[in-house]
Amino acid sequence: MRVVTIVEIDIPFCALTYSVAPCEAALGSTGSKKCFNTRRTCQDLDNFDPETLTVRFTEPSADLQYDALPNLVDVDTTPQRIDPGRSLGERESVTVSFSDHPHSDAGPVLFDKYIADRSYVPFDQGTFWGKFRARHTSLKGAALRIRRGALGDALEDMTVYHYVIESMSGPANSRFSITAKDELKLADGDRAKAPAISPGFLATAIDDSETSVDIAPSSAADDYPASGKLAIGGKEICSFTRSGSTLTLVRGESNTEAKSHEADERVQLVLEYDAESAADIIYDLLTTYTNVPASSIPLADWQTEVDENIGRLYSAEIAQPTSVRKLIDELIEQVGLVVWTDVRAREIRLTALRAITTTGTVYGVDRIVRGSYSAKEQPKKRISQAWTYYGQRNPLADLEDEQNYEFAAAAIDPDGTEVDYDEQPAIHEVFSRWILGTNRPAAESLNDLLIARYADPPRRFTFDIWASDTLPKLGLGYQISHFDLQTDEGADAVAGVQIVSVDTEPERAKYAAEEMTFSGVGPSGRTVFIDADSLNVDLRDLYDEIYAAPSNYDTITFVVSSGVKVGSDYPFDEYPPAMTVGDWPEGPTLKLINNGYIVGRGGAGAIVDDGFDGTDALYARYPISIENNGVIGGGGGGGGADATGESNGGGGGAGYQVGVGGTVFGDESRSGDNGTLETGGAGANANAGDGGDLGEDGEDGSPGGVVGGSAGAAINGVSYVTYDLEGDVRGAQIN
Amino acid sequence: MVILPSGASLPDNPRIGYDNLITAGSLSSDEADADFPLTNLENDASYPPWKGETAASQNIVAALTGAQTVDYIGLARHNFGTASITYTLEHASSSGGPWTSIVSNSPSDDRPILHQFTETTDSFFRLALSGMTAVPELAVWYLGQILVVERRIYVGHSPITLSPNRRVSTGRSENGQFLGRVRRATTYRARISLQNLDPDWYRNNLDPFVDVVDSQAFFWAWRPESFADEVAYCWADEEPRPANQRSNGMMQWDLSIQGIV
Repeated sequence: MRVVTIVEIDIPFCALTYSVAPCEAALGSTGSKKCFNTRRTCQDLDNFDPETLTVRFTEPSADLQYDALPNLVDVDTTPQRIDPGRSLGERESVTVSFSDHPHSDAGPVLFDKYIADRSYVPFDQGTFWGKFRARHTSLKGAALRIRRGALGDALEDMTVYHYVIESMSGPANSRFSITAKDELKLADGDRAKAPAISPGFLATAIDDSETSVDIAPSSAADDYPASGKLAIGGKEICSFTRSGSTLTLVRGESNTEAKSHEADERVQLVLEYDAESAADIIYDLLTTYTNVPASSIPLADWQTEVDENIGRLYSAEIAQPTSVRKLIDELIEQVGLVVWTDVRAREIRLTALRAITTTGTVYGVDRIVRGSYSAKEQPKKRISQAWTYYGQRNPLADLEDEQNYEFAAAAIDPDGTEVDYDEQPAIHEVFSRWILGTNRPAAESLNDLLIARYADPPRRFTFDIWASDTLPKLGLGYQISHFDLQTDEGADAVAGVQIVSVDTEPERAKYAAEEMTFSGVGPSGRTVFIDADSLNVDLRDLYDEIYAAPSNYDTITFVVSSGVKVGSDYPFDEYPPAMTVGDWPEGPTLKLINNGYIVGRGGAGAIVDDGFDGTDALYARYPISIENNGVIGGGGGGGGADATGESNGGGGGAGYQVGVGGTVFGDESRSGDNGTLETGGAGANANAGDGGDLGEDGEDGSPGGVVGGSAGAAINGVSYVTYDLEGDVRGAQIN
Repeated sequence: MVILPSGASLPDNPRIGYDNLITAGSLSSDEADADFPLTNLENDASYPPWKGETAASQNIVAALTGAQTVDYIGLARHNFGTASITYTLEHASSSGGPWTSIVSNSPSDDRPILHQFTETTDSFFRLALSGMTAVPELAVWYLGQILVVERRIYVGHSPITLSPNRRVSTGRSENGQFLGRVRRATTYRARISLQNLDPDWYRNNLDPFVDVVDSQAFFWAWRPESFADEVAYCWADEEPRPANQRSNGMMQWDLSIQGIV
């Protein structure tokens, strides 16, 4: 495979023309030469009107096919590292290096609109990057994208990785480089603080009992809301209402003492969060206090994840401008979250710290690139005791002083793993400004979560997968096996892992993964998530990947996440259901929450005979309650063939996998259409039957004697099902 | 490809096309894409190209500084093959014509072209493009006098068009499975070795080329009549140095090159 790398940069150029209204620049008046339509060279900044133009670069090669400057030398990526339940981890950094060369100042992006007015020949004077650097002060904050694909791919079909430019360097020794980071870099403390610093200060001194004071300067008054809380001089928190520049105060709030204050002491607005979901808090921090666009945050997914897995609310008073990164790190640790940037989707992902179901895909010695595997113990990650201090007294006092907290909750690993470590405890302390004193369950649950995840310190694996393989994705769960991964009998073992780092190169992807070792009780009871499209799911098998054998009293919840499809695989002569409840001992209570699609495989359309049957969606022979917020549908039956004897294929039934239309090889006009997820495909002609929609039989072929396939059942075993919400069920419900 | 005039002398002696009378500001055209203007054709860079705006017949005119004698054109990074473009080189004494045809060709591919013809002297030369099925593109147009090397090249030479240099990574799994090969980029490299050069010939003909080879790309055809497809648009990897080869003063000369083919 011939791989191609293309780097794109969005560069701001002024859309106006020099000296043409509204541009008020004029030769001899505002400058001795025309600008270059960049902010750095603009002679009328009041009217600078930037539009984004995209420049592309690629590697020099004899088989160059794309409109891109062939001066790309190297793309060096340091991948982001997810830090589950601890922090935002490390940012992904990409440094792109270019060679320098003469340039005509023209090209896919016309760098110089006024070439004809210049007194020199651009190709003969200077170099591309030398001139570029002189014309652009900085590209910080501009978008940079890396596209990777195969030679011949259209740009829009390539895999794209999204970054934000951090800095430029050069040219030096005919080289120029640009460094960019993933979008969460925008939350760093050097550029994002919450609350923002307030501009006002006390106009006059006040003693410890006065309740009215003016803010100065008067122009700063509008930066304060009509009411709220503020911190004066970093010493006292007051509630206030404001009328014009005058504040009316309630002194000594939030466990601070009323004090005397001098004139000019700063008046800082306090940022308050009051009983809010962690998803909403982080969303507010990122969209209000950083340049992260709201479009990068799938808030509804965040809210669902947090509501279903955490279910608790959090509060805080932040009295000093504080790094947004630090605040989010606190929430990640104190709530139990995992947050990272999906640089391909240009979205920020958030999940609860929980067991991740593996997709069943095993990456073993057949697929792991030679010499790339390693396994490393991480003893420092072990936690055998979790102590959480909560119920913060004074938002202005030291965050990490135990005296500043009214309450503490402590948990010790119930499985007694300390005995395996020479009785040495591994204590992890959390100082939580976000957990109120009345919220002991949140503190206890956090302790349980930390111990469940880290009592057995997870190993860290590294391995590479070749680019032509199906590549694992950051944040998701998989299984790995290797000669060096063994059971206590020396047999090959399989480890469930969560991908915490991906470094994608043209020929391979390099992975770091953490072993998932949730012991004891999981972070939210016993919940199993199906986060990725899956086939032939057995709920018992999924459960056994994550948890110990179920007890009589367990309530086990299975969640098909929003947008996810669960379906059936081939071969044609077998009819596995999309989802099987599986075999369970007597006792556990099972619940299924479907937010996606549980649908059978569509039946194939026939070529000369009857259409094939679709498969069942859900097969149950054990009691289960269902809350169906998505779709449960039997696979549509395949359409019958043209019954006149002409070979014209029937349409495929709807489902996942879709039913394939009856195919006449070499003649597409006589082949039936494939079904889609919800709709059956059309027959090749009027005599060939259409495939059935979800839950519907395929159409018979005309004029008769050829029948369409039967639809699969939506529920096979409905007598075992109790509906909390029946929702959209398509097809028969039997047995 | 290389095209020689009929009856060309020394048809299998190497040709070097480096002389170029086209300079900045000397070109005009009927059409030019705003993002790919004609200025792109006034230098030796193979990217970005000049592009027309439509697939209609159109012309590019080179205005020389007075009457000049030329006997070749070099064209590189074009789409004349895939766009079925016929080019005709014409000359006139004024920009408005009348135009007289010199040579014409309809390339079958997009590879570099070195087209030699009978010497022609005039002030204006026009590249007329016609018959196209797509918008024309051209990054390099040389117009000047060809350098015919004194001696042929015989054994030991690797034609650049047959010498790809590919960056390849091969994947093997832990248990020895073949995971595939990934190719990153391809360049073409070769070494030109000329021997038994007359000292006067070297000083009068090759040395002027050596003066510019470090700053300018050139066309290279090592055996034009026998292997007409083996033409490349090249640039030097190093500074060439001649050496006295024999006691009678004959010289040898080597140059490492990269190119597009």
